[in-house]
Amino acid sequence: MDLEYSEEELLVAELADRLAENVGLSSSGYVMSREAAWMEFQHAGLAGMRYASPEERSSATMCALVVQALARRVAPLPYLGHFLGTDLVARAGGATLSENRDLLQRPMVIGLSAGLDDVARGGDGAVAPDAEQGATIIALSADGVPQFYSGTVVSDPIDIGRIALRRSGTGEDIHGATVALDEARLDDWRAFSLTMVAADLTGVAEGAFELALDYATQRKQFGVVISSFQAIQHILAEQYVHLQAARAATRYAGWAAENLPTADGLMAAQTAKTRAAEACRSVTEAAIQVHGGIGMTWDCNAHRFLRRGALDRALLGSDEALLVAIAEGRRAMALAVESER
Amino acid sequence: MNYLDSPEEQSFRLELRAWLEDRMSDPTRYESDDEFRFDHYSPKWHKDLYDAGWLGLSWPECYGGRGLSTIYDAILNEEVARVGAPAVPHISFLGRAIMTYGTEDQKQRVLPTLLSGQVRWCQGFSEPGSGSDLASLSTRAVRVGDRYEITGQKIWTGRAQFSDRCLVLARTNPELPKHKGISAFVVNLRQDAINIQPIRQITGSRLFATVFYDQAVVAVEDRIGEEGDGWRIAMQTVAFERGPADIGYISRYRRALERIEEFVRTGGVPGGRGTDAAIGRLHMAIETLSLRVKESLFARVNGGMPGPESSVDKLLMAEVEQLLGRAAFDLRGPKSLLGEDPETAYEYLFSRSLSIMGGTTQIQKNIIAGRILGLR
Repeated sequence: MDLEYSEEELLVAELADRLAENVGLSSSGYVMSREAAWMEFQHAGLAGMRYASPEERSSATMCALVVQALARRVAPLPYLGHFLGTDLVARAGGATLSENRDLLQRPMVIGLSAGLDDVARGGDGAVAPDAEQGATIIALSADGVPQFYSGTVVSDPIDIGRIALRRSGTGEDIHGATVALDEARLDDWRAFSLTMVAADLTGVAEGAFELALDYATQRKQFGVVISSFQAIQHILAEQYVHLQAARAATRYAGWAAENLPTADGLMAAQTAKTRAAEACRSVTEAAIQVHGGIGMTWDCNAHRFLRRGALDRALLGSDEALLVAIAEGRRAMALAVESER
Repeated sequence: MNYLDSPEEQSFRLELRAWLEDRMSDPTRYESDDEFRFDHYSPKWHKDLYDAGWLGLSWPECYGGRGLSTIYDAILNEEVARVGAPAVPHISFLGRAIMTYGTEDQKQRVLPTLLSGQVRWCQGFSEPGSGSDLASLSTRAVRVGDRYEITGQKIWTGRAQFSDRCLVLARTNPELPKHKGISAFVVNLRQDAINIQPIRQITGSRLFATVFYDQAVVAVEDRIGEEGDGWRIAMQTVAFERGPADIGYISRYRRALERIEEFVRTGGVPGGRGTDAAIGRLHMAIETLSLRVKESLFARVNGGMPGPESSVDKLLMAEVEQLLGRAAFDLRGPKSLLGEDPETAYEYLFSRSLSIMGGTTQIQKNIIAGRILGLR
């Protein structure tokens, strides 16, 4: 057992941290436009991380570190939708042709079903929850072949740091991406994608926690900083436990997605996402609580974390759906072990 | 990054697994011991494990160990619990205190028989007036010539009624500030000046005892460390209570979840979406705890000392065991309420102690706030 990140992974994490600091949320809001933020993301070499063959792409572990860093600062660019979308195209063979590489100039974001619980397929009213104006939406044809779509901007999404698109028009074929993705390949995509969502939830929780801790150690009432009150200390300690649990689960899922059989990787990812969603809800709600009245104002950044976490939580399966899927997966595994005997 | 065994660990695990499966081919072999019913501890089991060379894996060879990494202790705990065998004797943390603070003479006298189980040990720290505030303890150790006389009362001494020796904290100097006047002693429990009264817990079992010391005698050579080292020794003992044993807990929890699933299969618990969601939630909680414990173990193996982060592990563990206790209890409905499933009822009642023993949940949160988050 070796649970250290590699040097390369740590370097990329640092790179992503710096990027997040430049483009992400500060105490005076966003200092960079979405377009500029996307350009920074590209120039940092991060846009193509999953847009490659399995041998050449960046690992799920590394992508999770990038996602977590950007989520921590609620970065205003569709890094999550883009990783999920490019990964799907790559699995169908569409990342290897140079014709398609130019398409990376714009985000290639995943289109999910109307219920947000799986990749969109066929005529379903697809939504790209983490997108950009003019982004390319990736969804599946009825036969399971990835296609390009365009979409129109959704007004009033809960996550004000993101742009969502509703799919419009018909799909275009993608050069070289002709493989119809079967359930096994889609399960691998789901394992990767759920892990990325878990990483996003974890990063959002981390950012919210830092905000709350910062506030509590500065805000004075009754002549002292409120962080000296046990009531506040216990709230923060509980959130810290959530963070550590979410981190541990996400770290494992990143490794499992690419080192264990599909069923195990998928279950690890379902586990990580549900645990991180639980952590994120608790921490983002607690962050508002710790801020007191100010926490309920638009100008306080706390609600931005709550909003991002609320959207993330619904992606690729509700808590209940994923927990039931875990129970079903356990039964299937137990049966498989039995029949081997 | 790699969560799998190394080739050496894997071959150790498989060898151990084969031995365990052979031993447990008769699962009732160890159940006749009285203590097994209370605490899943069996002296016969202790001896069998020791004779086969499975104990003290990470202890230095000169004290009867194998000098291996703590990972092997974790593998032992995991595999033992996996087959439902009695618990691995929980002695390493006591041994650790003596290895760190004891003289060579003390180590040679104490460690081999602690390991083999020939001498049974317990821990005398808490008192009726000193639980969370352990440093306020008032049991007195008075120096009289070449010995000490210990007078006072300890509570929550686990298995005292079955033990030969007790690691006792007592105050040697009441003049000093409370943390500084405490010393640690190896006390022979088999003397008339010591009176042991098992305590009946809400579960009905008597795992712990109150122990009365009335000028109990301890030789000076049986004081561990110098006078005043008691607090340091206590903190290290408590810190090392976490660790490889936690991995064993996880195997136990996995078995408990499998038991619930078995009930669903056989109709002993109603199935359906709600039950499935509960099973999924338990899986999520148990596996996340397992990963967190692995991270702590990895840090320990790489030279890290157990520190305030173990409070996070403790909180997560309490959460898991209490979630399991409740879930099984609720799902079993009338069966656990009307005497048909005493095991499930017992586990629910017992689970309430997880947020209390080994440092209450409230104390753990104080530790996290103070020592990790830096809040005062």
